[in-house]
Amino acid sequence: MHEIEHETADGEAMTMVSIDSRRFGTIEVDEKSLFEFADGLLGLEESTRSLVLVEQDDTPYFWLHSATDPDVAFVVTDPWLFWPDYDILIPDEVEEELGLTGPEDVGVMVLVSIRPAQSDGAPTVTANLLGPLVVSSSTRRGRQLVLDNARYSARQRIGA
Amino acid sequence: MLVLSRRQGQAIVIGDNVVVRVVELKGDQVRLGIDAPRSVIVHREEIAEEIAAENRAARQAESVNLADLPLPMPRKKTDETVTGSPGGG
Repeated sequence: MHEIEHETADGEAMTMVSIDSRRFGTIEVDEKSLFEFADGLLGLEESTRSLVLVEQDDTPYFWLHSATDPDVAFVVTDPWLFWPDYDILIPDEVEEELGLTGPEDVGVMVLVSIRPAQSDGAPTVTANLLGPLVVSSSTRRGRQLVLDNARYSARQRIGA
Repeated sequence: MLVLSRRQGQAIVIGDNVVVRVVELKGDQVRLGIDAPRSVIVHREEIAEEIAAENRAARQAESVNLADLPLPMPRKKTDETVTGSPGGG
């Protein structure tokens, strides 16, 4: 990750960071757009402390890319697009840690796994509803929650 | 590490606000009652393991075209308030 100083039209200092990605080549993003996960994602702590959301038009999915490891990227989505009844309880200590100011400050995304089809069929696409990522859009801090909720699965099927 | 034994109905107290009670013993299973404030995160250990395994599985090595992935079922227009981009834009 390299830093480059820029100045916006209104004179505000903006630090661009360039992120190496095996998938996208080199991408330049505003440093302020990075999400900082103090503890990273479970099982992948080292490469997932700093993440950036890469949008793609016309799909409900996004790429969540590691800012430090070119090989680490995830497909994520908004769980409420697929499961309107999904609910999560954000513990007070997480609320404090992330500096969440209110419901409009909370962003929630879930990781999507794509497993290749056995034969010629469609790949199996699942979302991890047990470990949602919660971020603050103002502080840009995030944490993966661990829900102990029998209603949800770590491999919830998307599509038929 | 503190190791201690408890009988059915007995409890341990952790800090000021957390009480873990042995509710029932049945074969090799123990049923525990946990009394903790909302701010304390309580979950079964294997859930975190399961999430870690799924995180690793979700790491995309292959090239995936997001446009090929399944779309949500069409819903009524009135639900639009709950949608939006993850991360709040």
